[in-house]
Amino acid sequence: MKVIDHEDSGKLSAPGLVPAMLHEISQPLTTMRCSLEISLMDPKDQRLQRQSIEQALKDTERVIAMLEELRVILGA
Amino acid sequence: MRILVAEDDEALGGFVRRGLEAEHYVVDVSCNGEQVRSLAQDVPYDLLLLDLSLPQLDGVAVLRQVRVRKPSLPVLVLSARCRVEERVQCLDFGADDFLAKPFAFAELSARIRALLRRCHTTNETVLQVGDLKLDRLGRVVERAGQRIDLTVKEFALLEYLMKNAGRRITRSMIAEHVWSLSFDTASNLVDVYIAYLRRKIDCVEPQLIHTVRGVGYMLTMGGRA
Repeated sequence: MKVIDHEDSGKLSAPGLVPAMLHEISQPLTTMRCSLEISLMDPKDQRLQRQSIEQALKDTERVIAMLEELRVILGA
Repeated sequence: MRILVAEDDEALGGFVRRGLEAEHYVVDVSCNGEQVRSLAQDVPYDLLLLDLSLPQLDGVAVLRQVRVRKPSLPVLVLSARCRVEERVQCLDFGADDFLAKPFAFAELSARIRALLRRCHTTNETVLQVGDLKLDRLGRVVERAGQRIDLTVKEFALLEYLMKNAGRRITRSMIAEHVWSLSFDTASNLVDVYIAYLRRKIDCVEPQLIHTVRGVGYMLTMGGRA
């Protein structure tokens, strides 16, 4: 895939990479945000709170993995 | 109110279901485009939450096909595709609203309420049988002016009975509508919840929830079922 020059760094990235990354990163952020919000709706439900925390950890890992990929692609 | 959530991410679909159920909606979740199309066309939902990235049949295709059979079903599109042309395309294909990911659940919930308000007249949002009143959007139940606190499932059951007031409703219809379960799995649940409702609703005269022998139940002002 042909690439676009980054003016300041001289590093390269694939066309459409930023929109694709934005799309990919939105999913775990939505799940994380909603699960934490919903767990706060019923503070007595400890099982739900545990599920939300576990989900938030999984989603954090997904976001970190995407950032790592982005670093590799950008050579940062 | 019954909502179909079409979301390919199982975890997100599950949490959205929990949140909406806590707000007294009856919720079905599907992560397959073909199944969403079929459910939306065949089941009388009050609203469809539609993610665009669905396997088997893309959300945009689902939207176009559902619109042919259900022109007035409110559809709220959820998507991480947030370019202007994508939003315009969805709205032109019949979506009523568009919410970009990552959204806050509080905003999703507010947009659902707004869409339901817009799409239902007062006659449809406030159900009344005799002195029993149920506000479907405000989620308030009153009998003879006295407010009655109901659990999520009690509310959904009463709403279903009131929407069908004067009609005989089988246990399997109730099981399917309120719990999204087959009758075999939920037959005891139905009877137990009818008993809970009777204690709260029918503690004053006249009795409104009637047993229809061999069939199920009927909510009516008239004494005969």
